[in-house]
Amino acid sequence: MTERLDLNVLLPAGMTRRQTMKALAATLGASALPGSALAQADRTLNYFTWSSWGEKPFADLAKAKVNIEFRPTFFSSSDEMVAKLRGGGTKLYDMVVPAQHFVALSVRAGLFEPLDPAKMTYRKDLFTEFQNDPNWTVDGKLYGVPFVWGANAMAFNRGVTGDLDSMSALFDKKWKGRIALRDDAEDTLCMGALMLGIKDPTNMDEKALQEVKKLLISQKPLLRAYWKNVADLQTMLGSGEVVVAWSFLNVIEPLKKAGIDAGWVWPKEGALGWSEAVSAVKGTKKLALVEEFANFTLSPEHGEMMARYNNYAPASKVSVDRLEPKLVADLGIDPKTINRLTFKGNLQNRARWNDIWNEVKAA
Amino acid sequence: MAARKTRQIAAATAFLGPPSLWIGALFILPMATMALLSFWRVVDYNIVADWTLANYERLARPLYLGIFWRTIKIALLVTVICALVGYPVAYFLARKTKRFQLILLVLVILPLWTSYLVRTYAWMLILGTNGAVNQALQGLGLTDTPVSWLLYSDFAVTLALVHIYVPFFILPLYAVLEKLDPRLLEAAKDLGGGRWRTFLHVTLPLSLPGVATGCLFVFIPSMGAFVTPELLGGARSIMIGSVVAQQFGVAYDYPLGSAMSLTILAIILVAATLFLRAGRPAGTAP
Repeated sequence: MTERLDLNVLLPAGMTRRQTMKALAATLGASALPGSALAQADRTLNYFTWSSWGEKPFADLAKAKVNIEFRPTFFSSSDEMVAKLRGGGTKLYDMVVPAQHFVALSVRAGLFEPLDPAKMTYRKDLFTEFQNDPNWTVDGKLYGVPFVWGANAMAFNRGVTGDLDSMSALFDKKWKGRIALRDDAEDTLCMGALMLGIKDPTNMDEKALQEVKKLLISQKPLLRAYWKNVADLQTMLGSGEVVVAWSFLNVIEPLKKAGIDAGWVWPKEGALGWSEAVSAVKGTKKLALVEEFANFTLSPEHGEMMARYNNYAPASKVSVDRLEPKLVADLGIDPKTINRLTFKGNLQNRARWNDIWNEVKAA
Repeated sequence: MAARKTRQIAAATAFLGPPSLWIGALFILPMATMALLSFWRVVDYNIVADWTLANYERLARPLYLGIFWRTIKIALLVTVICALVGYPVAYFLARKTKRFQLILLVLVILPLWTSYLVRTYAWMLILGTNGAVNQALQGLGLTDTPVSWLLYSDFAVTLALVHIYVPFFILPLYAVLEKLDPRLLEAAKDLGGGRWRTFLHVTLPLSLPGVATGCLFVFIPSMGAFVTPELLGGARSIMIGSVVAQQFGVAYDYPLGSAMSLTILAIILVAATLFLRAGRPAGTAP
């Protein structure tokens, strides 16, 4: 009994133990939560994104131009992005960079916060197809304005393979044991569909899926490995394990810097197009700051830096106008080429695609 | 008497309370959650508490049964190799050296100080097309072209798993061998047993509990391995751990992932029973 009395001496008069506990919990909780009273001056954003957009030049420009610092966490596929946001990530991040065909499903899963169109002052600078891309508006609300577009296509070691223009290189016995494909149900099954000349890959029926599965299984004896993380593919191409791969564009620059004659091509059979934008994560306490950042990604400087640094195509016409015409041609970032791409839509039966993909991998 | 009883209860609570809480909160609760989840389903990225056996039906398809079977085979192979490699090491450590015992023990434990991931990546450098092994083979003129099956293959996965888990086999076995009563060995010698007979009839049977524990310590993590097969495995090296990780981290199919995890757990429980039964020292009651 004496202990209890001692404890009570320490408490403010009239305060019960329960109230004390509540107060304690509240204090602890407040200090642990981002974006309470301190958020006014706090210009940092937790950023869930692809590794390309978290690199130093991006951080430096954001700091210099809009005085925003971001703390990046990376995902390596759109599926992973949704799974992690859905599994609790909405409490961790303020903003995220989805691909166009994951916007509507993320909104329906309650993961995104709409943006105020009035804050997107650079939107008028974009090529018209990106200013009003219907993928980014759901139920009349805006969830992002794309700052970049591009394709998943073919990377190769030109020094070994020479110039390539056809996806058949990924199925060519000549490169047996030196080919890598991506470990991603959606991307790689769509790639197989392009190879078979299937027009609308993300709407494939069961029969078409089975044909693609057959094609990819028949390709397996030629395959070195499936890559999951683009850094792993970079290692494979850099070490000579692999000479041709289905890839992201951002492997090319580091390989060139390492002295490898790395080539990048949209094969004549087609390539898989995407556009990406900054979206606000549901429940962020810093929506205004996210909007400011999203608008900054549309600015002429941001697009120019991105094109020069990692060769991605800005959605901003003003950015492209700042680049030398030869660079624009070399990088293939003129939106006139965009109709060569097949843009992915939302899958109707993602679980089925995952099963089929596992069947390919286990075969 | 009553006071003594109260004291006993208080002591029991003090000693058993924290561990029970620990196990309850960090083991039983998550397990129960998974068990529940495994009977539910996902609709449009929402987990719906519809009672269904669909997840287990999906698992029973040839696709996933095949992957389970592959995983069991690889885990067993890793366990057998660890036993064959680890037994002589543990035996030497415990019985054949006094001078170098400490330093050798440290050498066994040392790899555990490096991250699992670093050790996995290190194998890429060793086994790659331009890696150390291929350079050596070509330098010695044993082959003209690099051997490609060294990396991105079941071979690479098995080798790396053996390397990563062999200390977990050696240490428990070493502990058992170290405590072996030397009088028994002397008695065997007195009775005319040679080195091999003594080993086969005395040392080996008495060390079986250590072997069983070691096997379990290797088999359990090998069953769940996913980083190593993903990084070193080739086109065919899919293991069930990767499929589970895919359900939680990529597909947002917690119910299917839970059903898979529980199935792995069941396999491990069966294996544990078998290993421990086999490892019971001769002559003891079940």
